[in-house]
Amino acid sequence: MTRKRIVLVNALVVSLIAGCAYALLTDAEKWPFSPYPMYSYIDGDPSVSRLELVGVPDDSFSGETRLSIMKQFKPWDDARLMKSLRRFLEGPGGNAAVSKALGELLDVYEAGRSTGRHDGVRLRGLRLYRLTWRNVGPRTFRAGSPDKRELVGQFQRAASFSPTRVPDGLPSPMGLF
Amino acid sequence: MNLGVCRALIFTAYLIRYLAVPLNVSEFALMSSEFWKPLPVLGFFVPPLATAFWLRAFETAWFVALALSALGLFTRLSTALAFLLGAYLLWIPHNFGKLHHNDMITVLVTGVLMFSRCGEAWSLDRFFENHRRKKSGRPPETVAPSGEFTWPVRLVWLALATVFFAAGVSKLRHSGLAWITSDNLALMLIKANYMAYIDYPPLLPLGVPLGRLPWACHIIAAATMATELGFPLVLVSRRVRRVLVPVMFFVLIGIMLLFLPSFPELIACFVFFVPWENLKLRSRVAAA
Repeated sequence: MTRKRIVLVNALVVSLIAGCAYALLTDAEKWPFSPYPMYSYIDGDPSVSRLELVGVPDDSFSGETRLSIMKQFKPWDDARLMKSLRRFLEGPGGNAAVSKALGELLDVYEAGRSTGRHDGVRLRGLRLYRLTWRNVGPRTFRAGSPDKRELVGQFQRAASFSPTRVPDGLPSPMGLF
Repeated sequence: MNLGVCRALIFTAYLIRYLAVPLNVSEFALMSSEFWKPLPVLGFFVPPLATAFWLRAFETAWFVALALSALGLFTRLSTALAFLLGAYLLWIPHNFGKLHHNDMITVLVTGVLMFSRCGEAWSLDRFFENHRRKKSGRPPETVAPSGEFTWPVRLVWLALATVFFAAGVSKLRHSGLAWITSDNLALMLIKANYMAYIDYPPLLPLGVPLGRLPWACHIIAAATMATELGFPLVLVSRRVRRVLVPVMFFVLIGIMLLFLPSFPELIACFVFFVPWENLKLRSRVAAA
């Protein structure tokens, strides 16, 4: 190996260690270096809460259809999309921001459907629910149905497909069925 | 030979992985700015987001570069393109919603290979070069063993060691030994199964029964943390390497089976721990 190559290799070693140390010492993401904090926090919360996105079929006023994020909302995956929506929910825009985001996601879904990328039913709206399971533990596993299913956001178009935003104050979920 | 085989395998693995689940980054460019939450590269630099047209072109070029790198054709150029385009394209999805930790290693590994002479063996470049030499009546070029072909492998080991060590340190920093002694792992195993209600159940339905065995969870948690914190020792000790490398491999497989996240990019990197040269030697001895 030439001297130049040896210097290069040493520079690479130092860069790699420095990048990792930088992310680790600051405990912050320095892409492509990371402190890899996933699963490192103790989660003592005996409840599980997650978001669920469902579709409102165009030909139905009461029914809802389950959706596959990976297949019908490309390029999103479940974790990325739900974290985005959670950010909207907790952000200053609140329900209006969620409604706007759902409207855009409906466009993504319908664009995929109309170009044949997925064979989902035609939708006129999307609803976002927060599902909560309480008393989660080794002896109390019952993932079948959540203890609470709360509507936290929605976007719905009129049957004619002219965009109609749902006002900020959301109606009760029961009122929609 | 070792480096050439590793190059061929790792780029093939990346190609298959990203063809199976494409990034589709061009479609992120069509989303409104509300979804955009920038993740600075190295903590301070946010590159501009190219238009959907250019992102499609970059993604296509990246696949070509990955394929050429796997084949070892125009290796210096193709590995450089695989790194540069990959670093940019892989960074984009992390700016939308959530940072996944699976593909950072891809950037580091392709970066290492870009600077290496990984196309000297097991490559079309070598094949064509020898073919040219044969036609002109010269003997085929033999590549002498050199540190040139060892350092990239060791540097990938170092990259993997930093990943696992950082994960171990994070657990100690944020939870301390309670990460092992509390019911944390049991609860995580149980909670992963609540995802099944939506769409994505864990591949192996053992999380709940395992979560009901506190002693097993404590042992697994202790073994995981010890392996992560001790992983840098694989750089200096062959004995440790023989133990910790397979253990960490199965930890990653276990995460994939019992939880939802999978780390195929990290798992693929374990090809760098296989002594391909020795395997070839052994097969020759067996054949003789």
